Parts: sequence; C-alpha cells; structure tokens
Amino acid sequence: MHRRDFLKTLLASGALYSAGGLPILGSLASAAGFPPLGSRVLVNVMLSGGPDMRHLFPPPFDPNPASYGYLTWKARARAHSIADSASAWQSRWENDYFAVSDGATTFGILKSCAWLKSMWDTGKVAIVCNAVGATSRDHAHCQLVMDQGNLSSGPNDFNRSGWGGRLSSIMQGNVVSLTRAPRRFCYGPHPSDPENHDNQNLVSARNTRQMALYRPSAYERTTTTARAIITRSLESYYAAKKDEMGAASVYRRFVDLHNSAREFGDAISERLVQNPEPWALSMLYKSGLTTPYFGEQIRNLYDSLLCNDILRLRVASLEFPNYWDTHKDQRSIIEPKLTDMFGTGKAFETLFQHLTPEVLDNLVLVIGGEFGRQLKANGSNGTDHGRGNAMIVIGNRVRGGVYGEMFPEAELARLDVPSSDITGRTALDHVFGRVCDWMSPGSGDWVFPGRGSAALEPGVNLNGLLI
Amino acid sequence: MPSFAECPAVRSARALPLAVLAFAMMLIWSGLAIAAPATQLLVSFSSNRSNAMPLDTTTLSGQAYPFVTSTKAILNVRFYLDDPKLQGSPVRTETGAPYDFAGTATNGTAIPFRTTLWPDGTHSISALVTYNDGTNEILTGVFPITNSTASLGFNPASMPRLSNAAWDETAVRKVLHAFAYGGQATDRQVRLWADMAPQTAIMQMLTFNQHNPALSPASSLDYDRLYQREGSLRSLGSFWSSADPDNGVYSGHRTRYDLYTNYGLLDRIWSKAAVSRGLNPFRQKVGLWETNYHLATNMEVVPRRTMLRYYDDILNSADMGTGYQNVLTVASTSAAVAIQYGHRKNVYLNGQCLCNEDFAREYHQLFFGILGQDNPDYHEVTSIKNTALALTDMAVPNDTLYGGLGDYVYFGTAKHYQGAVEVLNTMVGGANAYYKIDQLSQYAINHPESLNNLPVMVVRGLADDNLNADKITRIRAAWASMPTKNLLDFIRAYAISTVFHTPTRVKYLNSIDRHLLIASQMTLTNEEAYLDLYPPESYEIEGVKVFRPVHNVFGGQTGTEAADSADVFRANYNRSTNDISRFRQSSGTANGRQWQKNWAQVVPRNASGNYVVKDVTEWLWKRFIGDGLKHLGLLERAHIYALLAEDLDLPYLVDRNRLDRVFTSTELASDPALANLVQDLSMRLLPLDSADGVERAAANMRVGQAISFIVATPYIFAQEGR
Repeated sequence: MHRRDFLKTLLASGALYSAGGLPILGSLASAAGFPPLGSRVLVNVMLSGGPDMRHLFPPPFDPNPASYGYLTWKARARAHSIADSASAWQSRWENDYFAVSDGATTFGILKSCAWLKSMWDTGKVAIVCNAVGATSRDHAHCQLVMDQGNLSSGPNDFNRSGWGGRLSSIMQGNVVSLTRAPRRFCYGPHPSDPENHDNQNLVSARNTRQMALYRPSAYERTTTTARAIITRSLESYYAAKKDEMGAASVYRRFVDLHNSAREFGDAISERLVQNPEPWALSMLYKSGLTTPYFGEQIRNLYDSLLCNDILRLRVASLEFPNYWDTHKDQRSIIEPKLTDMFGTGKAFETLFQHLTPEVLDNLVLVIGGEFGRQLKANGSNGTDHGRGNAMIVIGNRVRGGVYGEMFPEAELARLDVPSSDITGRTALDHVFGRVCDWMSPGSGDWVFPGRGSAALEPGVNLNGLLI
Repeated sequence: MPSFAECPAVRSARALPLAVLAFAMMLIWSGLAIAAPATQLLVSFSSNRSNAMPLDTTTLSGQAYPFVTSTKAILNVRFYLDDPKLQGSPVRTETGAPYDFAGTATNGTAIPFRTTLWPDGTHSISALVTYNDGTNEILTGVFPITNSTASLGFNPASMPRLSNAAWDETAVRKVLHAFAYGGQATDRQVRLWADMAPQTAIMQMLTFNQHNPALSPASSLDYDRLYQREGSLRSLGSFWSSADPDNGVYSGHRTRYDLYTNYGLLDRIWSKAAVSRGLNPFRQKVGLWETNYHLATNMEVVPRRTMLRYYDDILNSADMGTGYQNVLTVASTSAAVAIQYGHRKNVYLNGQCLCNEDFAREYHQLFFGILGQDNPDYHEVTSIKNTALALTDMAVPNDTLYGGLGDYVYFGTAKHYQGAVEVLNTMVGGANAYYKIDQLSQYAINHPESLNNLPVMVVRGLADDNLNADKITRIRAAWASMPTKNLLDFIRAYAISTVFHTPTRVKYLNSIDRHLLIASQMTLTNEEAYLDLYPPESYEIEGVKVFRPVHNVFGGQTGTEAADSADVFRANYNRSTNDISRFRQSSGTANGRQWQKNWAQVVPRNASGNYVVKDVTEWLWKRFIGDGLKHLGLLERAHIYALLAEDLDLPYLVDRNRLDRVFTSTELASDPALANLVQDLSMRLLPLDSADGVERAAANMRVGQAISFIVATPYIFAQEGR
C-alpha cells in the first residue's frame, strides 16, 4: 500500500493520531509548560555494539548441577568476573540481582538498575526475548537492518529508509534525532525509490539549547559590522536558494538544513528560554552519568517534548554507543552504562520525574541493540557476538511481562558448542511493528511490510504489548 | 607595486633566524618596508629571459633560466645551490649583467640550468647580491624540480582513463580536493599537470612519500624547511616541540607537540602536518582514513605514543608499495590494535584459548572485508575461532622509559598456539602470531569477499558516497586485475578514471575533511600555521576528534553523517558569520609575532597587472570549491562581488531600507539596474598590492570576507564528479 492510500484509509477511519486537524489526544502536560502532544511519541534507544541482556536479566542461580540456573551461571561466570565456583555464582546472584517474576518466569534485574525494577514492579516493562534481526553477527550490517527495520537489507544497502523515518512520515510528523549524527533509523521513505530515502521529516537536534543559526542583534543587523554584512548576505542568498535549488541536487539538503534551522531554531530557542532546563536533568550530562553524551540526549528529549508542537515530534532517536561490544571485561564496562540508563536518579528516572503523567501515558521507550552475545563467556571476561537477544519496551501503556521463552532449556545442550548463542525466534518486525500500531493504528504493516511472513516465536502474542 | 612576498626582508627570510624574521614582518606590517623590489630572483623558460616569473615556488623541469635583475647598480652576484645559509662556496659568481645562474653565452642569451642533472624534489637557489654601494642582499628561491615522466602502468580496462582532452584543470582540482584537502600546488603547477597526460600527472600528484614538492611546495618564506626534514609524525612532533631556531611553534605551545616528556597532542601534530607546506597532504589524508576509519583504533584506549607509531608504521609500509596485504599485516600485528581489541592478553595455555574473538572477527571484516557470507557457520566456528588462536601471545610490554603501555608487540611462543590453524579454508602456520597473521594476510587479500569488498571500502571511504552497481562492478574488476594489490596505484588509476570523473560521484565531506580543506587553502605560509591563524582542529567544535573516532573501531564521522547533521551545518554557518573575524582578519599579533595577510602572493593578476573582482571571485571559488565554476552562478557572483568590491552585502548596497531583501537569479539577470550593478561590481579592482598599507589590508579583509561566504554555501559540503 502506498503511503497516500494508507493515509486515506486512516483518515476515513479517524484512526490517525496526528496533527493538522486530525483527531488528536487531549490537552496534555500543559500544566508543566508542555504543550499538548500532537501524537503519541516513540523514543528509540540504540545500544550499538550488541548488549548482553542476559547480564542485565540473568536466570536465577540454582544449586542443582544439572539445572539451567547452575550450568548457565557456570558458563557465564567469567563475564561476571567471578570465581569458577558455585558459591561465587550464588553470591553474585543473591547480592547483585533483584529476583523478579512475571508469574511464569523468574529472573534477575541488576540491583544497580533499581528504577527498571520499580518500573517492572508496576507492570510497565516488557521484555521481548529471542528477538532477532540480521544474523550475520556483523555490527554494521546488523545495525543497518535494525535501524532500517528491514530484514532484507544487505551490508551495502546504506540508503534505504529507517523505520523511525517511515513511522513519522505516516504520522505526518517528524523524527527528531538527538544524537551526534542522525542514525539510519531516522531516514524517511523516498517518494519513489525504495532503495533511497528522503529526510524531509528529519530534524537534527544534537543540542536543543543551541539550535539557532547565528543572527546579530536587531540593532546590529542594521549596521555594517562584518557580522551584519555576512549574515545579511547569507540570509538573502539562502532565501533565494530555497526556491532555486533543484530538489534532485545533492546540495539541496544543505539548503533544507538552513531552512530547518531557521524554522525551528529561533522558535525553539524562544520556547526554551522560558523553560530553563531542570537542574537534575542538567546534572546528567555534567556529572551524573559516566556517559555525559547520553545525559545530553536525555536533556534534548525533555526539550523536544517541551517543543513537540514546534518540532511536530512523533519519534525521537537516541543512542548509547560504544560500550556494549563487551568482548573483554564485560562486568566493569557494561554495568556502569546500564546504571546510567536505569539506575536510581539516573537518566530515565530523572527524565520521567520531569514529565507529566499525560506525557508519560503517551510515551514508549524501545531499547535494544543489533544482536546478542554468545551463551558462554570467553577467555577475556567477556562475551563474543551472537544473534538472538532481548528487547526492552517501557511505558505507562506497556503491558509488562516476559514475551517469549526467556531461558530455553535447549540451550544447555549447546553450551559447549563453539559460538553458540541465543536462538532468534521473533523477528524485530513483530516487536517494532506492534509499537507502530500503538503509535498510529494500522501503521505497523506499512512500516514493516514483511511482518506477515516474519518469524514469530510459537506461543508469543505481541498484540497486547501496548494498550 | 611589490607584493608582500617580494619584499626584500622577507625574500631572504629563509636564511634568517626566527627573531629576525619576526622583526622583518613587524617592519612590513608597520608599513616601513614597503618598497618596490629593486632586485629580484626570477626564472624564465627561454634563454632570452622572457616571461620571467619569481623563482620561488615555481616548478622547474628540463631547462630553466634563473637570473637576477635589478634597478640598482650591482657589483656582483654570487649564486648558491641548495645552500640557503651560504655556508659553502658559490656555484657561480657573476660580475656583470645579465646575472644568470648558469652563466651567459657570448651572444647574450642565458645558459640553461639543466634541472635533469638534479634529483626531483625541493631545491633552492640563493643569490648574494653585492651592490656598488657596498651593501649586500640575499635572495632565495625555493622550488620543486619534477623531471620524472614516469607513467602509471596500471591501466585496468574496467576503469577507463580520462582522455587527455577531458583531463583538464578542473579534473586536476577535483583530484586534489578529493585526496589532498585541495593540495597546496601553485596555479602554474595545476596547469602543468592539466597539460600532461593524466597517467603522468597522477604519478606526481599522489605519492606516499613524506614530501611531495609539487603537491606541497615550500617557499622561501617557509623558514622551517620541512621539505628537508623527516616527515613522519614522530619526527615532526620532535621538531615542533624542540628549541630548534627554525621551529616556528610559539615557545609556550611547544609542549603540545611533545608526546614523550609532555602532554603532547597527536591530533595537533597530524593536523599541522596536513596543512604545512613542504610535506604531503595526500599522505596525511590516507593516513587519517586508515587509522581513523578503515583500521580505526581509538586513543580512548590506545596510548598516544602507540597511536603515533601505528600511524607512521602504516604509512611507511604503504610507501614501500610491496602490497596492500603487507600494510594490513603491519596494522594487524601492531600494539595499537592489540591494545584496542584486547588480544594482547590472549594466550593459549593448557590446551585452552584464554581469548576473545573481537579482532579475530574484525581482522576479516573490517580490515579485509571478509564477512563469511558464503558459509556463515564455517566462518563463525572455524575461521574466527582459529584466527583467535593465531592471535595469541601478543603481549605489549610496558614502555620502560616513558611509562604506560609501549608501542610494539612482543610475539611470544610459549603462550602461543603452536599448531597450524585452518582459516578461510587454508592452513596457516607459523611459530608466533606475526608469522601466522602475515601468512594469512597473503591469502586473505585474494579471498573472493575481500576482492569484492575491500576496493569498495577504499573508494567509498575516500571518494564516493554514491556508488551504484556499475561503479562497484568496475572498481571490483580493477582491483581484482592487480597482480599485487598496490593501494597507491589503485587510487591513482581510480583518480584519473571515468569512474571517478563521473557526474554520479558524490562525496560528502566529513567535518575533518572540510576544516582541513579550508585551513589548507587559507594558509599561505607555514608561518601562518605556526601562528594558528586558521587552526584546522576547529573541527572539534563539530563534535569530532582525530584519533578518537566517534564509532570507535568502526570509524569516525562519515561524510553522509555530517551532511545529515543540522549541528554540523549550524557550526559551519556560525563560524562564517559570528566568527567571521577568523577569515577576515588581515593583520595582527599572534603568539607575540606580528603578521599580515598577503593574498597578492597567490591571487593572479589580469593581463594589465590588476586584481579584478570577477577574476578573484572565480579564483577563490576554484580554490575552495574546485568544481570548475559549475555552481558559481549569478546569485553567488552577485553576493561575492558585493563583498569584494564594496565591502558590503548586496541587500545593503542596493537598498539599505530593505535589508532583508532576497534577490533571485532571474531578477539579477533581468532587472537592468541590478544587472548593471553586478556587471559594475565584477569589474572593480581590488587593491591587494596597494602601496597604502591601510588600503592593502582592507583589500585582504575583503578577500577573507568573500571566503567566509564561499565556505558557508552548500557547495563546501560535498564534491560532485563531472
């Protein structure tokens, strides 16, 4: 179905959550300075490198030497940098993990991630197990597939659209990139070429507090200072280029960047001047996190929600790069980063504390990396590349729980087989597609046209993932 | 009127200590030393000395005729070759006009200086002129000799060469922009290359040598004589941190270049090397791509001295030209990679590999482009596992002199897996990791997946973000046809091929490329680099650092990422506007030394000897954009003309009550008043050579202002083929 036809269908059904006179949500968050949300908002966080979610969510230790909870702890002890003894594994489990359960499956949550535990306890965390995208175990390729939401993408299919871009396009809003450079997740669909993309619905906001292009003061603009002269020249020039530069020109995007910066920059600056960043949020990138870059993105996300009407925010793109490819010293590397995201007083808790219930009710976090790790730790206190992994979905409207078999007993037979990993059973299309459906009913099949034929773990039903 | 470069005090600067040079510059800056150059050291390519030009920076080949001319009474001229400090005996003494370097024939014509008798490279001729009044003056010209007519032998059918007709000045500039930050070659050199067959020109343009005198010619103003110094980053860092009297780095900043006893910054050494004259920007460009993209390691993990050696070793290996697989072996067995990936701790003990697979995988994938797609399970379970075995016992000893981890690997045998291992369906043996990896590389370079992917990685990384199936097929076929995979010859062949010079080629500049291009073209002398007038490392304001790639081992910011980033655009725009003084300043004091910009030394005059606004505009556009003026349309011209001719913006110039006026190209062409104005502005003269110091400085400021406009246009962000 073409986007235009799909939009007609949605308009006819009144099902589109979007702007422009369409049915929208009620007045949200206005009490805290938040303008009404024009739609639900997806926050996608890429943990590039292939995070070991089993480190965050391990099975409970079991003293029975033949059990899953014994053998997998034994196989993975090195990744925890603990001794090769049952007492050490037990101690680690008991001291460093919360034991939680959804009634069917018991597992652990790293104690330093106490906010995540509290969200789990209130039923707002879904863990989709055995999720899989590309199976090449190649970072670049698997990230490409995950960002594009396209299982057919090969390693060199760089230019295709991303699923965040497609979703924001169908919702007639924008995907706002809060990262250093926009991920391919943000690339919008090209109107005619499926091998290409179009970024008209992409707003890049690496630093929401500095989005404006330079402009001299009103007085200086009337003078002949060097800055006034050059600024007038360039403003006049770019205004003309806006109409004169062909759409197919490779340089068109730079004219659009100028126009976008002018369009959004001044308005956002004006809005944010009236809304100083909360101290706690500013501390995230000043000293509160081991990775200030992620703290900056959280601040950017807060600002984007404050300016959602200006930005026509539908999708926000974040990343937590470089720390998840834990071939060595996994525990010392991964735990501070998990804590940065999920710890008490850390990124997400601080953000959520500053959002109104109405905003939170219409926000969903989707967090994951391009692949998982191998079942067994390697000789460098780390884990090597695998395929299947868990995805985390968090939000007030999430129906919390474990989706899929979290600890397949069948893994035991493969523990000593070289390179064994978590078997991917549920294609990412199903997880992401269901999120799309929640964002804009019916959009999942358009954003993920291959969903119908994509693998889904027997017994798993993701229709109720979000309510 | 004399140009700044022609002032006597500066012309002899090369032989002067730094303090004397600074004093000379101060005199010039204050206007005291501006005078017609009574005596000049020129070169002609005719024995009758016609069409003479300053010898300084002029490329010589074949027969040339250097000579001294003067309006003053000369007693004698003593000539010295490659002896700028006049420490030896003169090669010739002339006691009467004409003062020819190689002597004068009985018929009055000049005897040729046969440059073929001298090796290609940078040379100098100095003339000690003694006047009748007893005073002396030293004139020095530094120039490249390029007599080599070597022609590129590699000529793959799949990448057809440009015809001689299509190989023109624009083609040359596109190669320089893509591969050498625009290069520093003189306009004359660019024309010389354009007039050669492309397969000859490219041999001179792109080399891995530490110095490329034609691509990066030094002048007599470059008192540091980098062209005579070892050009590795290690040696350059040593020089720039030293108390050598020819070192122009401000004494208070020299510790920035000292990686050994101070907190030196490797990226500063690299960026200074990339923009300094007398070195080789192509070498640094490829060095950056190898160490920050293709074979990336990260100083977040790798010590700076280890990274320094990594960089130098890779380029020295590439310079040897023995095969790209050997370059990859050097990188694969380096301390930097062993530290980055952690396999320096990998050991084989008691029948067990205490190791990880990180580099075992990336050796194949990132370095050679082998993903194991033909048989993923075999690749995973056999090739990667066994490569991990091959990478055992590669300890990086501590640096006993300076502390921390050292810069080399100790290839042990006691903890190394001693057996042969099967990788990529072949058996690889060797007593230690080095031998195994070296053997494996010889095989991996011809693996079908590597043959398919590696050349595409090279081209995509350096020159083309818009590869289509046809281009990829051609690139692969060319690479596969090389019996020995020589990276330099491959790049050369590509750079003069229709695959590079095609309209579909698009290369978006990453922040480093763009800042280095601008800094390289703004910087006219090494003194300007020493004064940090245009610091190339300003790319850091765009969130990018050299040797700290944002994607870690997967490389730094790409051109497409930069092109997608509003923040990058904003930073560039704001630099041209809010920080315009960086471009516009034409004189001042920096690091305790006074300086004055002198665009006249490089901007061409018209036939009447004037600097015409239209000509200057086109010259600047070629220099910074390099598109053969394709995108220098009427709109661009009108704005730049106004800035150059009137030091005002077009809106203000036309109607100061409508400062937000937008001019379309159509109205600029069709509105008679506007068209006449643009025409009038285009013909104005720019007094870059005025005797009036204030007027001259103002003209230089306008040039800087025009540059700030040019580098804020969309065309600075990407390069197209043609």
